[in-house]
Amino acid sequence: MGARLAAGIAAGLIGGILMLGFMMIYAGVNDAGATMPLKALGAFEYGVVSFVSGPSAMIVGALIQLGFSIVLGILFALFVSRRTSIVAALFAGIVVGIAIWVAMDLFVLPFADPTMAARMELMPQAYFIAHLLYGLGLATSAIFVRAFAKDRHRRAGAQHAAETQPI
Amino acid sequence: MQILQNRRAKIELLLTAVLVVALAGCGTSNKQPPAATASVAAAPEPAAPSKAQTHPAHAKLLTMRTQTPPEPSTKQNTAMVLSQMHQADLTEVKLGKMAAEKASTDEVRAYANQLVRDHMSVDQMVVAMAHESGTDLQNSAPARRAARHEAAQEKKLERKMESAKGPDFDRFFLRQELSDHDKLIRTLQQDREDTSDDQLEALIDKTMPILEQQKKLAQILIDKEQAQTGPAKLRG
Repeated sequence: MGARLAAGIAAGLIGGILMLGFMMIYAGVNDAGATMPLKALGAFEYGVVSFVSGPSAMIVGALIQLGFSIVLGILFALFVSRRTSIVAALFAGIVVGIAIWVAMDLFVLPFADPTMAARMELMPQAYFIAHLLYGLGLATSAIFVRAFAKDRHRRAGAQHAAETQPI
Repeated sequence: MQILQNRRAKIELLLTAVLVVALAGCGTSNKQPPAATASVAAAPEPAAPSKAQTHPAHAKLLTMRTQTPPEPSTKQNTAMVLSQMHQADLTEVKLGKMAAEKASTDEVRAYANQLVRDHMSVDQMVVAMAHESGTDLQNSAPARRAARHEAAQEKKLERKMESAKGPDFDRFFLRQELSDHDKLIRTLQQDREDTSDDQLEALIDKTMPILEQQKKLAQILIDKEQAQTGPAKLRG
């Protein structure tokens, strides 16, 4: 359970940063302003005022993104074991990424954050690709589960060896 | 062990299938004509008895649609709306840039910068659609008309904005944005009702929430400014 939790946090963070980084680069390149995605996320809390609220709205936006990413990463990692192959995790991650995209686009954003919904309508392809990247991030949970489980196993072995060593 | 491996293989196969279905679903382009329009255009004479045969108004509408392929008036109307939108975007970008330099508060400066970015993003879509529909946004007759109309108003406005300073400038700029966006929203709502161009409707639908948010934000900033200066005025 501990390995899965840590793997979920790590994978969620990677996915969230990949997603946000991609959106910020895309928005910056397309004259929408690199900080626009952060402000749009901040609008969950601040509403349309997030665009004039300065760094506080952006920090809230980043926290919302990373918080949700970690929670979903942990949920995803609960279904991943040491035996899960990387390919299966990759497919599952992409499917989950697409499912999140559908849910956000149809149900969450129009009601919870219309400010972000309007901005994402201007860059629909980038928003979709960002979710695929999040899915890729989630897939790394299979690698992390294995790595953390191995590390735990090694530490447990070392501890056992130390305890059973004749004095 | 073999059973376990078989199970894993099945799960992987299932996940692949789900992914393929999901991607296939996302692959439907919004450029495809709506099914109803396509069927009307493809079948000039409806074979089965339909509503059109029972309802005269419906029949008239159907005849009009089937007899008139892409009307030039629709194309002209689309060109006119695109030109108006393009000119409005250019004006807002210009005013926003001026306000970003002259604004006396960080909030108004941030609003001006956001205005510039939003209108630049919207204008990219307008230009892309004009390019697709073969509309010349610089030299077509509607474009020239829209540009002439905007240029005259823009000069007046620029003169006023240049003469204003400090909080007076902020107030003037925000009020101007409020009225500009109010006008633009009403015009686009009317254009949306009048047009039969699906792509233009979609473009207006995408643009409208952004304009409404900009208007709302201008109103919030005006209210805030009034709340701050109101008590001072009363004291004075």
